[in-house]
Amino acid sequence: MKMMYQIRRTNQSRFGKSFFKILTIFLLIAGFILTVSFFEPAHSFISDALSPLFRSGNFFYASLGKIPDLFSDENKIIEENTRLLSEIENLRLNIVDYDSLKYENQRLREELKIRPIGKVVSASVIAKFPQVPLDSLFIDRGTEDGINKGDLVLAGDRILIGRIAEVFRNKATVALNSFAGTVSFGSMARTDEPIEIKGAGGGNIEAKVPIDFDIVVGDKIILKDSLNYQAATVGVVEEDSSAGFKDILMSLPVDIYKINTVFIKAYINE
Amino acid sequence: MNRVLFFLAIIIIPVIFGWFLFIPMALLFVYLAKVPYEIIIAGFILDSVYYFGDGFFVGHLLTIFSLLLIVASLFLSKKIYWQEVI
Repeated sequence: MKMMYQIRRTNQSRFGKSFFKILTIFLLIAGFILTVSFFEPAHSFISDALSPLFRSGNFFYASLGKIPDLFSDENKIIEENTRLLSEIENLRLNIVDYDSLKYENQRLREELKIRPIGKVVSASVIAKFPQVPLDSLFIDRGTEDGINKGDLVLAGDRILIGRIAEVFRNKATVALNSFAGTVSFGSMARTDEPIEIKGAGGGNIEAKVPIDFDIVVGDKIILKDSLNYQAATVGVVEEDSSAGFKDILMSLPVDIYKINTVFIKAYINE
Repeated sequence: MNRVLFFLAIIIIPVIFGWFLFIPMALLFVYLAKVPYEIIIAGFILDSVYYFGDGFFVGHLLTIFSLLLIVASLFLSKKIYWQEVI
């Protein structure tokens, strides 16, 4: 006799209880993220809340950098002290010269009715690499201080290191000129020829120019706003004869790891 | 409790010592805890302060990384033994 068996139906669903539990959790998280993403004060709150941690990390790395000094020789310190004293004296004289030139420049600008230099806001750097991604800085000024996205970030009077990339209520993130993909248009300080520079990441800036372009190691790249700013210094020039181009590798004009204060100036497009 | 502490650590440690520490810590969290959905929140919080560039993917880099990590580990949960240490 032939037997036939029927498969018994069970109540077990394809998706178990745990699946729905996990799905609920993920939906709640997705909802939270979407809500907070479009709520600007939440970003400001997060940046404010994490600010003390950034500061402590910055202090930690600054202290770490001072450890080799603890083991340095006494004679070396005396020698360094003497050298630094003479450097201070030179710098003091330079400042006197600079102040008189600045005054003269301001007077000439007024006479020629050139646009005023504009307001500059100083800011403290509260985090740099490795605390934040390479080629970015976290500073303690924000929209409350009149800072906007795209404003120029200076390391000195005429040294442009980057632009404001993200701005919160009283914190902001700076993307340095060397930030990967950042494109700036400037000119050579020596020849005044225009050049396009592109951030290559890791503190490097690159450019590709025709082989007959006049550029040498040490040349300075100037970006123009209402003033001229030095944005990069040429470090390597490589000629690619077969392609008919020169590959230029540049660096920022200052050592970012030694900077603790920056100046922010509103960007004015000429 | 350990899970909460680890969640706080995954935010605090990268902020103090370096953003890249989030990646090994997230991997460790996935290894130690079952369905560690907290790393998505931590990734999102860190994405709010770090700047990786403009655009959706680079703007939410750590959030997307965390999400992919969890999805991958969920798919692998049947294949490998997933211990629940914390």
